[in-house]
Amino acid sequence: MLQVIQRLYESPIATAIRESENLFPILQTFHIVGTIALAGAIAIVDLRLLNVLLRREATVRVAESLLPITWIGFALMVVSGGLLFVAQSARIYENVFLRMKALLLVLALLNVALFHATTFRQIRSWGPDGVETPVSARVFAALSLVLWAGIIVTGRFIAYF
Amino acid sequence: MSSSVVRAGLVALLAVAAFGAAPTRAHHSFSAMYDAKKPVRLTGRLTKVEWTNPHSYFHLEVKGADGKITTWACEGAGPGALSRRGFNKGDIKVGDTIVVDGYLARSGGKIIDARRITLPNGRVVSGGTPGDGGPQAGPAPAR
Amino acid sequence: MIERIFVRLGDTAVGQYLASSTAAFATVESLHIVALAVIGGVILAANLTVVGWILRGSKASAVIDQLRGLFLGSLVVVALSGVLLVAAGPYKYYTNPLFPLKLLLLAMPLGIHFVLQKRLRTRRDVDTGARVLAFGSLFLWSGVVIAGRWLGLI
Repeated sequence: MLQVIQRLYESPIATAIRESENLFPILQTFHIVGTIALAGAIAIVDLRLLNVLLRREATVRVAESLLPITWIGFALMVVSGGLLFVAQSARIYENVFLRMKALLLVLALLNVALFHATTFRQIRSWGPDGVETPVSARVFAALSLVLWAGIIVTGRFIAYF
Repeated sequence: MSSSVVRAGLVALLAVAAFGAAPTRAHHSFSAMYDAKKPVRLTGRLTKVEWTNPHSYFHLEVKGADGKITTWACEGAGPGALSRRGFNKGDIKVGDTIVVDGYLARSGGKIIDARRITLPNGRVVSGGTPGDGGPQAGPAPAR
Repeated sequence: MIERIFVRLGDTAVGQYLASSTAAFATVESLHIVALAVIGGVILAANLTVVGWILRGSKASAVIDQLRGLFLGSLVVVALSGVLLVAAGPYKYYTNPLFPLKLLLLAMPLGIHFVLQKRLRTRRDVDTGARVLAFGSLFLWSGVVIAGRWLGLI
């Protein structure tokens, strides 16, 4: 595996990004903008699911409004994150925080997928003027908040340790 | 549908678990967590230059008073920041003797931040990471 | 005089502690980013509603009202963690031209937010002027984030 990482690290594209004057910082900028779009929009939806805010708006409308933003954010993150990883792969591959971040990311995506495959299907019936948001939806939402926050924290820690 | 999601998820989790179980090593700090109370001046021969993001690295072979040679790494800013200060990749090469003033890394390794670099032609450049909170001009050269 | 404020901030116990502990500094910085993501979500949701791209059936002023609590809460966390980050190494912010730019870029959308709120209340909800303000706000907030990131890179 280490050989694959090393070859990735030495590839022309990884080297070009790593030795660039502005491309690397620009990718970092897209990474933070993507973080805000993705995590920020997710936070609003999760908080609505937890009945903490936007209580006068139907949950389905909040979700429908913000999910497209999460998709844009996710696309930004995949591209910028992928390129940033490739450029630094050999250097950060053994970083414990990178590994934690990867694990949290898989868990967060699993959480989203499971939610959409199950509980989310009844979203149209949830408040206001509908039924109470089911407990399972709130569990998914709470987990989502914790996981995405953890991804941000572990991601930042990569640079320090 | 949900069972294939679960299956895909389990495969992904296993892959990540394998990734996580492989040997880890705490990386040296990238941020300028250097000890401002421990100024260091290194004079040595460049054995390796990494003109990279997020940090550049200049590896020096330093000969001690006892004649023993130790290898030090000097961490500097990324290529963009360096070039904006007039310090470019072609300004130094392996084999050059340079002087680097910086502060010792808190991790205890033979690492300093490349706060001030004196090039072979005598030109002095700032190599440090901008905005890292460290002393602006770098340690005063020992007289 | 401003320099003295920065120096005093750096001399505080918490400033000294954050300057000496990588883990503590990284924690505060991470908190800054998490709160930034939350406030970013609020700003996106609020301004995109005014612009008319999302939550179209709802009254924009009502949406903004419902987001106010989270907006203020996350703003407090962003601001406080930001002050702590400056305390950990005040000199770097004091001498970096991007820092006052970032603060200026921050003050403007905050100002716009109050103007926009008032406008939405006094008129029959959203009009072209409100939409322009909302677009401007989004643009300026992006500038805050970008300036913040490039602080450490120039």
